[in-house]
Amino acid sequence: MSKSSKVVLVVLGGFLCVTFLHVWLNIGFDKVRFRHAQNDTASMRVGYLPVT
Amino acid sequence: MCPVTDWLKKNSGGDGIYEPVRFNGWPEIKEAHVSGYLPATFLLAPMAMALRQQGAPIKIVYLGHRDGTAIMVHKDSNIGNFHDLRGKTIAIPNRFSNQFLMVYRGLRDRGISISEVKIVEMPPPDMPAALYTKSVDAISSGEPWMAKSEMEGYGRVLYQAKDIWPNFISCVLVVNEQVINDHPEWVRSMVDGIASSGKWVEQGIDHRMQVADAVANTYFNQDPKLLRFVLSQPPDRVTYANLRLARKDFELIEQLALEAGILKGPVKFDDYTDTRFSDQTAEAHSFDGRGGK
Repeated sequence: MSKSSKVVLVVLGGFLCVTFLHVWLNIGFDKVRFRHAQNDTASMRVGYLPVT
Repeated sequence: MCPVTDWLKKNSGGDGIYEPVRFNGWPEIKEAHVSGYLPATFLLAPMAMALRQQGAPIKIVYLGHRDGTAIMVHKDSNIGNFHDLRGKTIAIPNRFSNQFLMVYRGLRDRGISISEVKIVEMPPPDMPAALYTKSVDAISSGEPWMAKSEMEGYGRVLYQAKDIWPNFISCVLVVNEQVINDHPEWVRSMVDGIASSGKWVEQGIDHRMQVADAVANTYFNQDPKLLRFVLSQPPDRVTYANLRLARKDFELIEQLALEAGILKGPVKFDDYTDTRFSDQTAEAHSFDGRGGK
């Protein structure tokens, strides 16, 4: 493998790592968050005041 | 709303779809609903009517409870009736509340103008302390805040709601129209659940005590003794029967709200309510209905 190919692969790998990290941390790519988001769409918040 | 929160609690989490969200003030709960954060909520009846009048896409689908409101004064005060309230300061939860209209009605029926008293708005949880420190002369909101001042020894009942306004309505269940259209089964299930819970609570004092214990710590963050007191002293202090939407109950609210100037013009019962769910509850067919339709 030529030196330029190695540089391209490293840059590409770094780019993918940063992208994955960003998606995971900021958009919620992990299973727990995904499951939570699914529950959100299937839930109905009901507001109340603590009065009898 | 003890049986209501109890039912919601049992139907949240796991496979349950309802998520009860607690608030401490009516303006905050109103804003949360208008912003879309709360697809459904309990609101003061006149507030819901006024919101609809302003174009909010909401419908009243059921009641939260009946009665369960009082006007309290300090036990050391010499206030004994509405005439003694002239020139005094009265705390209410919100101007768009039936508590305000109850005070208005009580004064009006005795020939006293609402302008002869000073009305201040205050979140219900703050009211007992305000009465204790004599920052106000009288307080009026839903329970258990009125009973709290009575139990702690500085509050005295001037009037129970039923003395002034039989079958008093405080809160109503309001749902966004889009949710009603997209998920009518959610709304039907919730209304049926609340109706059957209310019916169960009305079957005996032991049921009232069970529900008081169940929701005291979990949802109200109150001493169970207080909720036991509210639901038993006397047992009809708060009632959970006949929670269906009755036209004549709301027409009375409309009339008082127009007189008091909190509604800017006439509103239509058929516009601000959706009675389909209320009419279909088993409760609607099993109670004679003190309000009638």
